[in-house]
Amino acid sequence: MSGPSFSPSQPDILRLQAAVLVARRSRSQSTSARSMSRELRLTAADLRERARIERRGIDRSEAEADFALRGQFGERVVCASFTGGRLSCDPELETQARLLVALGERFVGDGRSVQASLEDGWLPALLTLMRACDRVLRSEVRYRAPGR
Amino acid sequence: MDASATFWFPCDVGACRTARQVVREFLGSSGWRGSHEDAIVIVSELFENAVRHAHSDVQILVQLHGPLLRMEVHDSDRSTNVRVTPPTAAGGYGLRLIQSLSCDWGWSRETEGKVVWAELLAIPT
Repeated sequence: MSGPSFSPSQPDILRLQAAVLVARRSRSQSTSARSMSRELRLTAADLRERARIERRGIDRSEAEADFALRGQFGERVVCASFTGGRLSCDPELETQARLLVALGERFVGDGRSVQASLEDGWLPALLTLMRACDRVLRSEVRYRAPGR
Repeated sequence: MDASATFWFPCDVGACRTARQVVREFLGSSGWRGSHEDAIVIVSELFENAVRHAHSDVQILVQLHGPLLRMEVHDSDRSTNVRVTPPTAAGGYGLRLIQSLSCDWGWSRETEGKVVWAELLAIPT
């Protein structure tokens, strides 16, 4: 016993093919959107993780470091060094640096602000002296492990 | 115009912020006219890669030769290869960023570790 025969007309076939194509395209678009969304989620997760680590990280380099600096001040080459917490500096450069301190200069970046100073550790001292130079020619910073 | 800066930092991701700050000030004080922000991103990525993957103290060398800025990050790990990999949840974006921001980059093994470097060019205005 055979059922009623179904022979679709040409327009039916075309409609069916069009529906299949639309469904495929829609599936492909949603796959690509899902993939893009996944990638963005990964990027966001990576950025959050990095920020978390940085916030949590104890910046040991801020505690103990020595530096040497050579720069141009007017026509002269001037030097400064910071060793074992002790600053030694060309007088002209020091005067200029102290002027920046008196003016309340700040070093802003990465969501923090460091106040210009020659007395609050190596980082503010280095940043202040670098800015006091007309041009920095050479700078060396060496982290010092505690007790070294 | 030639200038250079060398920074030795501990193996500590927290030191990255300090590294960015001193490099930013160095670039500002040396009069280089390229994109300081691109340079900071590159230094930051190189530094983090060294700390995360090489687990070693890091030496950053920043050199200016006229309009050319060369940034090198040295670590003490000779065993790891440096290659661009597809990004995953664990990372993989750093070298892509460096590749897209720098005019050239590369790496090589050294006697006691390796160096990853990138170069940026200041375009005259």
